[in-house]
Amino acid sequence: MQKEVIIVIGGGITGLTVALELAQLGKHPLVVERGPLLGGRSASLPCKATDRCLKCNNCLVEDTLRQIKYDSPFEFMTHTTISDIRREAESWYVTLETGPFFIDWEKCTDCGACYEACARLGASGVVRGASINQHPFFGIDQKACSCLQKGADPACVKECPEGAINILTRPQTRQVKAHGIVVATGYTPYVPPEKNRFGYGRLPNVITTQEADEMLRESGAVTRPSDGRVPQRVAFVQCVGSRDRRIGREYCSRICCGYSLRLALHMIHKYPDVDITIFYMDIQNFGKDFEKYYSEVKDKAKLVRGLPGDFYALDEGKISVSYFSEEQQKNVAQPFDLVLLTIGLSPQEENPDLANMLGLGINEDGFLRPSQADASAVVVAGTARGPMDVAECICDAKSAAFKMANFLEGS
Amino acid sequence: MTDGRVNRSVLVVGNGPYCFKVAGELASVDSVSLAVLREARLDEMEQKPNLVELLMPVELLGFSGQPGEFRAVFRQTNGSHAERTYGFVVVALESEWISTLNKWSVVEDSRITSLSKLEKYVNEYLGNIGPGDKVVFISGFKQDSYPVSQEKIVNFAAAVREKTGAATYVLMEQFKVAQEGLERAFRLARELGVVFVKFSQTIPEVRVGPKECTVQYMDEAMGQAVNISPQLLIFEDEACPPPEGRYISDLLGINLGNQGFLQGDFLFNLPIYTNRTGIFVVGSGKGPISEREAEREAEAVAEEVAKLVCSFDKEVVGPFPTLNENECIHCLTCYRSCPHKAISLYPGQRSPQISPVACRGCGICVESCPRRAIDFEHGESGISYYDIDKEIDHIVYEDSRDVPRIAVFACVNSAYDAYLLAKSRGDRLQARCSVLKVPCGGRVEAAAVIKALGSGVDGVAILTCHENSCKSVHGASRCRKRIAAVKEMMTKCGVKEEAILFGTVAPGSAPQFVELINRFSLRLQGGDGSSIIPGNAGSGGEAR
Repeated sequence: MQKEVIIVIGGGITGLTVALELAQLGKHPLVVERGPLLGGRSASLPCKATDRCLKCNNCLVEDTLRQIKYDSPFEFMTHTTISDIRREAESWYVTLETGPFFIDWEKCTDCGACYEACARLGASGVVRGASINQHPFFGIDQKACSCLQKGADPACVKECPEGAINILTRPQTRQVKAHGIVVATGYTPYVPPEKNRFGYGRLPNVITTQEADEMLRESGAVTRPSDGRVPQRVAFVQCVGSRDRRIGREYCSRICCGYSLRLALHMIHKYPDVDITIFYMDIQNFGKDFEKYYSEVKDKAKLVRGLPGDFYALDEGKISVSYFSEEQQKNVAQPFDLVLLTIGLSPQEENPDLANMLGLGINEDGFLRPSQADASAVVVAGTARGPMDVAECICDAKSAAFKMANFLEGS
Repeated sequence: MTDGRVNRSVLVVGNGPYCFKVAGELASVDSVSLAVLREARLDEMEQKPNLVELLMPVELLGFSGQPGEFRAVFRQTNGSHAERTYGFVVVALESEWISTLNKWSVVEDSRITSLSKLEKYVNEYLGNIGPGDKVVFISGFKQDSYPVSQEKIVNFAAAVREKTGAATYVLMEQFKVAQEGLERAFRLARELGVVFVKFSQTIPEVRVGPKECTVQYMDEAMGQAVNISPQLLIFEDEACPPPEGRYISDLLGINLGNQGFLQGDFLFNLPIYTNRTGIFVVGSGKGPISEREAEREAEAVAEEVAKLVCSFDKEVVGPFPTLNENECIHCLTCYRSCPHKAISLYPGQRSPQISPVACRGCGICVESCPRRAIDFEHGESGISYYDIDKEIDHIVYEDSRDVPRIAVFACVNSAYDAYLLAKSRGDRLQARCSVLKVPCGGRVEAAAVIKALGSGVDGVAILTCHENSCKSVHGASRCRKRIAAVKEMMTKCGVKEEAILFGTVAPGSAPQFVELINRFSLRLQGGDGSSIIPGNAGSGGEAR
C-alpha cells in the first residue's frame, strides 16, 4: 500500500509536535520548514527560572526536540518552501522547493566546520541552533552570506568534510502527493514601525522582548546594548502591538503578561538590586497558577497602570519615560537604564495567500481558521490560529494530530 | 503486566457535562466507561455518545494497578459493588463557580444575584428591567477574574443594555481579555453604552437597605465619588476546584495542584499529564479555561490514549530497571519512592513488580534501594550511563594542575544538554570536567558522590533540573537534600564541603552552565567567585 503522506507546514513546536504524534500513531508526516533549522521561535526561548522553575515552558520544547533528534521519527525538509499546491480528487499535489543554498541534513554531522569558516570571515551566513537538541544544528542564511555578496564561492561549502552543503543554480524541486495538510506556520513578532513614540530603533537601550530573549539565551543575562552593562532600572512596557485597534490589532496577545512577569522575577533573582517597573493596561491570567507569580511581582517590582507617553534620551544611554501617576494624580517622568517593549504576536503576512491556496478562512484578527467541517483534509494548529503559549501549542498540536489521524482512518 | 493481557478501554471520571464530551472523543479510540460522580440531569448533558457505558451516579471506592490493567472498584446507587479493569483513566472533573455574595456581606434576593444564577434565571431577573433602570456588574476585587467569566459579563451587559435600555455599569479590577474576540466584545459593549469602570486603588462599597441597594465608589480616573442605586446588582463568581478533586487525586495516586485544583505543579505535567503514565487530567478541574480550550484538551487526550494503545504493540526498548528477587528484602522503599507509581505490589507475588509501560527510567528506585537490588538493564543501544560506578572508573583527566579537575553529574534532561551546548559553542570552562550523564538527579546516590571525590578530582558538581521542572517530579529535590546531607557528613568528618556543588540549570542555558562551573572552579582554587564573574550563581544557585 502506498504511504499516506501528510504535509506539515512549519517546523516550530506545533508542527514538530503534530509530526511526532502522527508518526507515533503510525502515520507518515513530512515537515516542511522554510527556515534553516527545526524548532522555530520556541527553540530559542531562554530559561527564566529563579531558584525554581517558573514554567516558561522552554524545557517542554527541549524535550520534544530531544525526542526528534534521537528517534528521527519522521521525514523533514528545511530551507524548503511550497511553490504550488493542487487539489485533485482526494489528494493534494504539493511542489516543494529546497535551497538553492542549503545544508543536506542527512549528510550533516553537526561538526560546525561551516560555522567556523563563516565566522572567520566575520559573516553570519551560517546560523547555529540555540538548542543542542536541534538537528541540523547549523543552517544557511543566504541573505547574510558575505561570500555570495562578493561573488565568491561560499567558504563553508569547501570546508564541509561531508560535502553536505549544496549550492545549486536553482532550487531543488520535489513533488509530493499528500493525503492531508497540517498548517502550523506560527506567528510573527510585532515590530514597532519606524516612527514610534517608544524611541525603538532610535534609542539603543529601548529593545523588544524578543531581543531580550536572544540576549538571555546567548549570554545568560539581559544587559544594555549601548555598553553591555547590567541595568539598574528597567521598565517593561506591555501591550506593544496588542490591544490597539488603531494599528489593526484589536486582540490580546495572551502570552506577554506571563512573559514579563517571569522575566522580571528572573532578573530580580539574578540581580537583587535591580529596580523594575512594569507599565500595563491589565494583567492577564496566563497558564496555571498565574496568581502566584503575580503576587510575587507585586511584592518585588513596581506595577504602574497605564502605558507611558513619551520616551526621550538622557545622558549615559538612559531613557526618560513619562507617564500618568495615579498615586500623584499627575504626569511624572522617570529615568530608566533599559526599556523592554513587550511585543505582541502578529499573524503571518502569508496568511491570506495560504488561506487562498488551501481553502481556509481568516479570522478578524488575521489568523487562520478552518473553513470546512472538522473532518477535513486541512487542519490549522498552534499560533497560526491565534496567540497561545508553548503548552497550549503542544495541546493544540495533539488535537490536530487526532483530527488528522481520524480523517485518514475515515477516508 | 502480571498476566500478559492488556486492556485498552478507558475510564472517564467526571462530574458534569464536560465529561460526556471527553468520553465522546475517546469512544473513537476504544471502549469507554463514563463514571459520573454525581446525579446529573441527562438532558443537561451533551448527548450520551454511543459505545460509551454510563455509570451514574457512581462512587469510586478503590483503585490499583498499572496502565493496561488499572483496576477500579465502584459502588452504584443500588449498593452493588463492581470491579473493572481499564487501560487508561481520564479525569475530566469540572471546577465550580461559587457565589461571592457572602464576601460582600450581602444576601441574594430579586435585586442581588450571582453571575451563575443570572445565567440560569435570566428571564426572571431581567423581566422587570427597563429604560431608566440601572444594572451593575461587579467583577473581581474579592477573587480572581478569568476571561471565561468576563466573557459572560460582557455578553450579559451588552444584551441588557441593548434589550432593556437600562443604564449598565461594569465595575472591575482588570479587563481579562486573553481570549479570542474578547477585546472586540468589550469595545462593542462600550459602543452600545455599557460603562466600564476600572479600579486599581479603591474598592466599591455595597450597601443594601430594605428599599434599595447602593453601590458607592470612587471614580479613580475622574477623582470623584459616585453613588448608584441599581435595580439589579450582579456579582462575578469565584472559580473553585472540583469538590471531588482531592479524593480522586488521592485514590488515583496523582499529585494535586495549588489551592486544590487538579494536576501537580510540575512543568512536565503540562498540558494534560499527571505523574502517572496512563492517567490524564483535562478540562477546567485544573483551573478555569474556555470551552474551546477544554474541547481541544478532550481531543488531545484522545490522541494520547490512541498513541499509548499503539505503544502497547511495540516492545519496550531502552534501559529498564529490573529487580533481583534474591536480594529484595521487601522493605518497599522502591514502591514508596517511585514518583510515577510504576511499582506495584501484587498479592502472591514475591517482590514488587515494575511496570515497563509506566516506568520512565529515572532511576530513583535504583538509588533508593538499600540492598542495591534494582539495576538498569541496558537497552539495545548499549547505553551505559546508568551505571554510575563504571562511569566513575572512567573519569579521565589530564595530568595538569593549572585548573581544577571536576567530576560533573549532569542530568540528561537539563545539565547534560547545557554542557553539550556549551561545548559546541566553544565556551571556555576554567576547569577540566569529566561529565557523567545521569538519567535524573534523583539517581545519584551519596556513595557515587563520595566515590567520585575519591577518584582524585578536586571537586564534584551535581547539576540537575530546577525543582518543579524535574521530569521525575521530586528527583531534583531529593538530590538537593541528599547532597546537603553528604556535605553535612563530610563536615563532621573534617572534610571540606566546598568540594561539592549542587546546582540547577536548564537544558538550553549554556552560559549558566559555564558560570556555575567557573564559579565552582574559582571556589576550589580558594578564590572569591563574585568579584570575578558578574551576577550570582545564574538561574541555578547552590544547595544551602
